[in-house]
Amino acid sequence: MGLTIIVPRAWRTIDKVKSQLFPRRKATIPPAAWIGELMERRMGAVILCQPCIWKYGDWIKRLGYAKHPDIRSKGGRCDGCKQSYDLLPVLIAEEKRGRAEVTRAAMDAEHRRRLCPVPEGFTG
Amino acid sequence: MQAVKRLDGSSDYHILDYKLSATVVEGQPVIASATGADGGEITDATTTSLLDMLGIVLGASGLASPRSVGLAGSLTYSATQGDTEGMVRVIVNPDAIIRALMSGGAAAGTALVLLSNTAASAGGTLITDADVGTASMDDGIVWCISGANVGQSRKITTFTSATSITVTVPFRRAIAVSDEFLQAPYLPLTTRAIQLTTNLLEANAIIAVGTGGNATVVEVILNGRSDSYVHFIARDHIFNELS
Repeated sequence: MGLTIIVPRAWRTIDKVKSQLFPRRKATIPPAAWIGELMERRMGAVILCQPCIWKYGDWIKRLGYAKHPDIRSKGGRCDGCKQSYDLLPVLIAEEKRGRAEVTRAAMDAEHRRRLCPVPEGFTG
Repeated sequence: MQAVKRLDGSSDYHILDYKLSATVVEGQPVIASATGADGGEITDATTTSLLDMLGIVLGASGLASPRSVGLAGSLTYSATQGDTEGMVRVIVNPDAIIRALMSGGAAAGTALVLLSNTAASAGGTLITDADVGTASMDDGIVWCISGANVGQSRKITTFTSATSITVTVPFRRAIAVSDEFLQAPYLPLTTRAIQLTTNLLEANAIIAVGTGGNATVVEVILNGRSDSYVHFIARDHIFNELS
């Protein structure tokens, strides 16, 4: 039998609070099949509330999703818990970004350049 | 294309799922299905029609291959029993402002035509170059990217096919030979139509002013030949129909 060293976890107050707010998935509940289908097969964008983002964090990381910095769903329903919220973050597969992707920061840079619309390094 | 904000300045959108009648890619505009034979609720817009536009596709992934998120970048429907139903998320706000890259041709990614002035204009109102083309840019916009007037834009008020363009409000300084300009058929509030590139992801900027699908230009971002954008709003949205 291999040697097992158990390091006791130091539970901070915030950990205890989080554990009460967002309990971990029970062993009897399958791990996020619906979210997995949404992310893997159907949608390049999922809408999740903050507790579900925490809950499905492993899927989000593994499938390369990330919150869009600007776009939010107004009056949408969480794909995970099906609860309606006033505003919800939209998660988009990172590899899908590029061609159509733009952030407010990028548009701010464009507007600054509008005063002199020649791109840097422009040689005509 | 991408929705960048709404008319109230926010970027909080109403996002809904719809059944597909066609293959779509993320960032393209979709319209309501009008044909009874269609298998779903939305279908592709066309390059020249945005009639009953619903909105912009916000993420779509391959249906057939389970692990293909982001690889194909498209989503289609299936008529095979047992397949997952083809659905797509769409930003449906009628007041969503949509941003499209200006393309210098029907194919996406084409640089805008560069105008190099061939005759000096002391009054700063006439730009002469055969490269202005034959598609009328009257009521479009012209902006200077090289020369004494760099950074200035003006509304085009007279267009002479394959010869010149004239502005009523003069550029601040004389226009010299070889000064360089770009032109586009878009003027905020005036332009009421936009034609799309064949992949439906960019705006074809070498067509005549007023040609294309129903859209009202809100703003133009005038930069270089490959990084200028037009922001527009659907003029015939399915939830706010023109006709």
